[in-house]
Amino acid sequence: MQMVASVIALGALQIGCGKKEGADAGGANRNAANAAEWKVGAYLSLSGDDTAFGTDSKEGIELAVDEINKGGGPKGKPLKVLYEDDKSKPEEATNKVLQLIDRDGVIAVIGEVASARSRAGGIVANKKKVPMITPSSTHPDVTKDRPFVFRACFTDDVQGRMGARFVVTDLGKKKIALLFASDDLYSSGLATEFREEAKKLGAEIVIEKKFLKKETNFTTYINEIKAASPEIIYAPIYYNAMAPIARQAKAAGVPGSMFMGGDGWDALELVRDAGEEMEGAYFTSHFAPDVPWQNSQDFVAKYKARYGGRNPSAIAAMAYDATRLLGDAIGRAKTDTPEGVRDAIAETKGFQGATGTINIDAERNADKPIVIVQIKDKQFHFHSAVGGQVPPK
Amino acid sequence: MKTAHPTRKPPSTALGAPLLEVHDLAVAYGGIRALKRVSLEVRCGEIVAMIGANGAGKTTTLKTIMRLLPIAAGRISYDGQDLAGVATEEVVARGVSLVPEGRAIFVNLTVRENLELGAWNHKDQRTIQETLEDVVKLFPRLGERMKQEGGTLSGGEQQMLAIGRALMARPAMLLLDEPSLGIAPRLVADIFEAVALVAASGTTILLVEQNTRLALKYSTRAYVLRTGEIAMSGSSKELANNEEIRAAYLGG
Amino acid sequence: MMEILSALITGIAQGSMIALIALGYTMVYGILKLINFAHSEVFMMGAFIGLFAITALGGTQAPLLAGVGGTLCAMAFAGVLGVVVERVAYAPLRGRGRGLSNTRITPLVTALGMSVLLQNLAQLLFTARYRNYPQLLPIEHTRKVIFVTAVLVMIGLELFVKRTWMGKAMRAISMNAEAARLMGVKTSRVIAITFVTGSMLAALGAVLFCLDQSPVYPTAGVVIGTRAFVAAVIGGIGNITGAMLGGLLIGVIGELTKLTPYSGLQDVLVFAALIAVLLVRPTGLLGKPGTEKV
Repeated sequence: MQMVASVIALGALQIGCGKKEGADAGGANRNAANAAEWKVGAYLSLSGDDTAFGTDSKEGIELAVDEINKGGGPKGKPLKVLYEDDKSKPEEATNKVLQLIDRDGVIAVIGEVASARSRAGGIVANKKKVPMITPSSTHPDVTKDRPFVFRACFTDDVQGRMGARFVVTDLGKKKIALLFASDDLYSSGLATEFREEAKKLGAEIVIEKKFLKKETNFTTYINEIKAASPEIIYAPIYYNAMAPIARQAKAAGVPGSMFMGGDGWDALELVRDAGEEMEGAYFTSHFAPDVPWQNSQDFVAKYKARYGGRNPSAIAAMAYDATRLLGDAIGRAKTDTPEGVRDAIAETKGFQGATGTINIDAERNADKPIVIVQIKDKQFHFHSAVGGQVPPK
Repeated sequence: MKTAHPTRKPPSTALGAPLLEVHDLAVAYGGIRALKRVSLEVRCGEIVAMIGANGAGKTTTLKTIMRLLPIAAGRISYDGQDLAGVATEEVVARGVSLVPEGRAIFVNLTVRENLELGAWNHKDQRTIQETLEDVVKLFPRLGERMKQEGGTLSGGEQQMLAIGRALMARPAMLLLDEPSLGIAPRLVADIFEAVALVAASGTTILLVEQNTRLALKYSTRAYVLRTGEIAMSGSSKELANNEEIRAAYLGG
Repeated sequence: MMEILSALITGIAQGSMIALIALGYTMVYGILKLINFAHSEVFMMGAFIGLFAITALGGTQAPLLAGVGGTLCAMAFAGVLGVVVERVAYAPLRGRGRGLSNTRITPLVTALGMSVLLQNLAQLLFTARYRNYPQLLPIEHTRKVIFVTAVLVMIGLELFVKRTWMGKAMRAISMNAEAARLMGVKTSRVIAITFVTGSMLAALGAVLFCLDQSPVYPTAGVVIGTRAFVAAVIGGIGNITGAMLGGLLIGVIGELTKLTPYSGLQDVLVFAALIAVLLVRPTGLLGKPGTEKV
């Protein structure tokens, strides 16, 4: 955390220094009412560790932009998205958002997937008073106390709580084991929210095992958990750790149907590499290609048509929603300024997205249904939706 | 000791003709010019001594002949062939072995393993065994300690091991760097007698020794090295009687 | 009680794998007094090649052929890579700057640079995606294979180092490289063979490791590489039996830690063990002070 704090301080310093010059340049370029198009910036991990996230997001954004511009665009002007690659690094996110705002004069910013980068970018956008919307960063801190930063997804704490509700209420499991990475904010954050909610609902946490996120040998953990005989194991971790866990669990005689996870599982690699071992497992997520809602199915059809028949990932769906939500807000904005767009995003109610009906709440987070996905026959299947406002079928 | 030390490949140089020739050799060592201009020759069958004070460049000369140090200028030739661009391993293969200063034995290897490594270039087990027997005849103490680790030997025994190990290569020419350094006086004589025996069996020797009296006693000719240059040379007898040498190195 | 026993067994399997990788660090250090930071990247590259070879050879359709063939391919590739790293990055530095104070720091920095370079190269060639090996064997059998392989390798290596000419030359160089050259030992060849051996063992460890538990990705070598390095130091760097002992120790400590509520502090405990051992025995459990003196 110390590290993060110092990065933030540095970022703030940079903004302070660049402000005068930047403000002048920005003034010259800023989207004015008489400009021919709406310039929007998108900073994404188009290279580096999370390239897949960045390219999926870009596909979703492009699909949304096509759709928005087909009808002439908000207020009759087309949307133009300027893409910047943050190389999967938070410090690059800071630079790219600064560039998009000061050099290109964008009216709003879209990005990122990883919370660490969204947080870095959000600090800049907020300071510069340009609205930013992250499609898929779930860490609570990203939008906290930053009036210009929004998200088109739910937060980790909501996800953890909803996961607990599903396990205890819907599945009726009362003896629960926790297995999570203690040195990963996402993992430990979900585990904390889940634990509290599950206890509130009358369930018992029979055992809790923490590991380091780079761990690969889980046999000892699994044996110990097995000995505590829980009914279900909540494992809110990323898919890359889940595949070895599932394999080793199966070897120890713990079936996949004993596991419950979070949106970190949402990667096709998981079912490809450990689909058999994960048979029957559930996880909370944002989207599944077979979500039965009309908007979702329309999106899947359009995506498949444009991208060679591939099913969209949840990341692509959320980027699509965030972009359309932004387009909608620009159209509704009372003034054609970043502030006007900000206010319009904040007032979003009942927006019909591919990932469900989105209401932006007072904390600038999306209030929307959480999708419970089940792994069956090595595929992700929509099981049910919890919370939020479930859209019509 | 009649077969003591047949060389593997006898040099083509005739007895009495120059086997090792060093011409105007200059060597720079970590930025310092350690040798300025050194010329010397060792004829086949001779024992030649190199004497001089600490830092005169004696060890540098030997290491450069072994091609452990780069030549800055000048020329070294052995058995009629230039050694410029020849690797240390190749110099050894051609028949020159060095017993380094401080002995440099392999402390965690047994005496036997040390000796066997000396015969690295010989793959014939019988030759190795015969040479080993000769070395043990020369230094019976080593025979008693074959299974001991090199590091457990006394200083004198380690020196015997270092010489024995060099002899295992069956060199035509042996370079010795300070064989008496840090050794009990009783053993020093033994070692020099053994060296004399090795020479008698046909091995040419270049000896670097601080103990000038000993060096001149056992050698036929000698060079005096002073601050990287040859200051004097001549037969060992002449030098032993030279006023200047007596004053400077023999303590009057 | 059952859990402790099973943790011990898991720890021994884990430790023997760490030991396989620790051997590469210890052998290179023994000879060159160089910490070859690129070793963990040779491990990672070996894991990638192993995966590709196993897939190409039919994967789960022909588990024996794919497993053995894939391992051999990975080992051959890693052996070549190890020598290339040595020839490109380390060999040119040897003998230069003789007598200058930075003769040990320069190769160390080069080793770090090589490590980063290989990681980035892997990312460029293979992308940052996590890839899992196909399951050729049930995990419980894989672990038996790991243990048996590690024991055989240790015995083989011990015999190689103690009994063969090449092994004796390696030990000689580690004690006094200049003296070894004076025996006629071609040190550059011995160094190359050392890198080949260490790298091949790393690849063997990598394939077993990935078959058993880990996906492969460009930074996959870092964690196990660090543990292996610690194991080599605990055992006494430069000492082959020490590497085995250190590996087993790290493996067992790691697994036992997982039984406690402090499993999140596993690395802390591993490094605490390292410091404790070094405080009592600065040269490691089996390290001899003599070997370091040159």
